[in-house]
This record gives sequence, C-alpha cells and structure tokens, in this order.
Amino acid sequence: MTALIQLSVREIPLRIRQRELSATELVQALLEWIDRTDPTLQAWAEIDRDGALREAERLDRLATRGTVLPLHGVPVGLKDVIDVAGLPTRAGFAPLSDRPAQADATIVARLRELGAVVLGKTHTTQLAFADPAPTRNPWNPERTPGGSSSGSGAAVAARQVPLAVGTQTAGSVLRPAAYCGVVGFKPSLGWLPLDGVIPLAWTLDHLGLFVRSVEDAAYVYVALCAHQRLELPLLTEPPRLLLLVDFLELAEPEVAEHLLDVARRFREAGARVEERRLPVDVGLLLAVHHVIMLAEMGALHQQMLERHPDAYGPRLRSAVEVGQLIPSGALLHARRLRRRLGALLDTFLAQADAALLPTASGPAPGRETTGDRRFQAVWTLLGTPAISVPSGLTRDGLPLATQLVARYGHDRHLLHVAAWCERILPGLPPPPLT
Amino acid sequence: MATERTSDQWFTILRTSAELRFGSERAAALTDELRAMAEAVARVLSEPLNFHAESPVDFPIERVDRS
Repeated sequence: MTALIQLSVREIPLRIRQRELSATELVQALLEWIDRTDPTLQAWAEIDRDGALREAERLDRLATRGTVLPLHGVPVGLKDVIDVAGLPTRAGFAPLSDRPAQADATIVARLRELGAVVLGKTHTTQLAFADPAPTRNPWNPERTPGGSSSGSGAAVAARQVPLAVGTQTAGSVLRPAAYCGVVGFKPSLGWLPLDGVIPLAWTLDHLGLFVRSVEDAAYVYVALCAHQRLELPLLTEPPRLLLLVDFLELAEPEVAEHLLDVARRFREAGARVEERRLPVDVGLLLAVHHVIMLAEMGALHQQMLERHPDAYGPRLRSAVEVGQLIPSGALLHARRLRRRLGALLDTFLAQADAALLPTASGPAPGRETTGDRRFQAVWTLLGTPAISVPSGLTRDGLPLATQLVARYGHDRHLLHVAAWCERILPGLPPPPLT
Repeated sequence: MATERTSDQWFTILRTSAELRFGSERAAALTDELRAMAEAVARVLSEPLNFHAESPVDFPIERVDRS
C-alpha cells in the first residue's frame, strides 16, 4: 500500500496502461489510508466511497478495452465549495442545504471526462474565508494547514490523494500548499472555469491545483487546458528571475534567509537572479485587494447575512459587515487602480521569466489562524499565474516554500520555469503524520 | 501624515455607519476590521485617477473566461 499512496498523477495512467495497476486497487488503497489517517488529519468533509469505487470499476473496464484517458484512475479531492453531482456542497456553512448538487461544476465534469475519480470533498474554511477548518497540518497537528483550501493541501501532503482542487481569492491555494509542503498552482484568472463553485469575491476568485510535483501540475494543467491554443515560449536555458526584495523585507528572518539561499542555488545552477523592487508599493496593492474583496463579499452576502447572522464565523461575519459599509467611490477607485497596477506589473514581469519570492511570510502558524495572505494576495489581485514549490524545512521541521510568478497568460512558461527550479531544490520527505 | 489623517476620518465614517447599520455592540466588535478598512480606503483614495493618460474605458482585469 505504501507504494500505491506515493504514486504521482502522471504515473497512474501509465501504470494502468501497462496493466501494472487497476483504478480499483488504487482507490481501495487510498480509502484505507484515509480511514487510518483522517481521524487525526481531518482533511475530508465527505467521502464518496461507493461512487469512487463504482467509477474506478468502470474505468478498469474501459482500460481492458484499450482506452486509457489522460487522468485515467487518478483519484481527486475537491474543496467543499465545488459542486459534485450527488454530493452536498456545505462549505462549512450550516444554512447551506444538505441537498445534493444537481450537476457537477465544470471543472469536475472536465476532470471526469479526463478519467479522474472523485474521491470526495475536502474541508474548507467557512465559505472559503478565514475561520479555520478542523483540518490539521500533517507536519505538526498543532499548526494550521493554511486556508482556505485546508483539506486539499493536507490531503495531498498526507498521501491521501495525489491531486486536489481548491480555490484562491487571496492566498487560499498557494498558502496551504506552502504550509503543507506540496506544490500549489494558481493559473491565470479565468483560465480554469468557476461555474458550479461557490463564489467569495467574484472578480478575484481562482481555481487552483494541489499536487506533489511541478511535473504533475503541468501534466494536469495541460490536460485540462488542452483545447487552448497558447503561443508561449519554452525554456531553452536557465531562467532569468527577479528576486523581490519588498517581500524579503516583510518575511520572517528564517524565511528571508532561506529564500536568499534558494536564490544562491539557482545562480549556481546558471540562472540570472536579480534583486529588484516592485514598481509599486506592496501596501497599495494589498489595499486595493482588500477593498475589492470585502466589497464583493459584502454584496454577495447581503441577504444571507440578514437571514442567518449567527451561522457566520466571526471572521467571515466581520468581513461581510465591513464590506457592506465601503463607499461605492472607494470601490470604483480601487477597480481603476487594479487596472493600472496590472499594466505596471505586467511590464515589470516582462523583464524576466518569473518573479521569485517566498510563498508565505513565515512557516505555518498555530491553528487559531489560517496564516498571512499578503504574499499571495498581490498576485490574486492581478490575476497572474503563481506557483508554490516546496524548498526546505525550518529548524522546527515545518515546510518552507518558494513562489514563482509570471505574466498574465504565461502559465505554461511559468510551469517550465518552476520545473527547472524544482530540479535544483531539495525535495521534502513525506510529513511525519504519514 | 495626510493619509493617516484621512484614515482617521474614514474610520469615523465607517464606525458611524456600522453603528447605524448593525448597532453599537457590533460596531465595537468590528473595530479592528473597520480600522483596517479605513486604512485601505485612505490608501486607495490617495492615488489620483488619471483619465488623460489612461483609457476612460474600463477593461478591468477580471474573469476572462478562457475555459
């Protein structure tokens, strides 16, 4: 079983094609592993045991007839804000009905078409905001796994599933990926479909992927976006990277020191790494993000808050209430600035293959919070693709991660850069909880 | 300094709005969030808009559904 739970996304259809593996035995192994580990980890809100086994058996019959799909037999966990037909979407919010979703979200339908097996729904913070989910960090159960895609990050790290999908409105894919020691990839805004996903702030919401290698991120992303015609440059030599000093100054000393060491490794491997400052103040970018996010949350929850005020977690309720007080002039101003800042940062990012910064200001903090969103929210505001790659451990044995960011729409190029960087970085062992 | 003064003004406006809308008890509970939003609003509004150099037509970087 140990070998099966370690399989990468890419290996699974290959082994099925070579008749070395069946989808059913893989699903059974992962379900057993979840049964053993999840009472402590609490990554899963709902497991569709029967549905997953039924689908795995169907895929095995298909493979016997010679058809093996790109994600054939790959078990996937979906954050519990994403609709899966036949399962409830509870989002950690009691007023949402237990009534099963009538249809799959578009991303789920696409994953199924590609041969993925839906294992179930992973825990989210309430409605994908900041009130902590029950999930523990597999590296230290007293630390947060990050949020809001808490269960998705923890499940992939704990080898409960090789692929999970989450959402990010501020930092909810990259931060849990960093805290849990897995790869988190947030493609450009709008590049993965959000139909059938509960919104938090609709102009900022992104879907993102959790996997255990950049190769897997690229494999899944290309499979999902195979119909897109993207004319993007491939990486033919070591990348040129912009090391963002602004974020080193905001990071905890151990994180800043780690990133400087990462940059040194990249330089020694041939990359051109230049220390640079953003052309705009990080504080302004975060202010624009904060105004837009809370204004949209306030609008979205107007009626629900009136009907169910006591169902809201304290952080979500406060944010929604404050969002309803924002003057329209401030929101319109923020939206104009978002456009200006996006153009400025696009010109800045065009000078190199990618920007380089820590994924988070520090390692995973305690479970009373989901962590610091500043290092990820900037890129969510701008809609640029961003990826978090595990890059080391703290002295206390918690994961540290390196973030790479590219221009809007340059997702595949970013994945090439990240693959190069990943080869230079030391891989992490499985977390202690496994 | 000017932004700080504006932030204080925005905090007063937001706190008053919160009291009227949600009552004084909730407004008090929201103090930290209101302070953070006042700072954000003041910071945003400190940047002048420029309709001479920038297109008056909004093509915001929002969801461009390429799926």
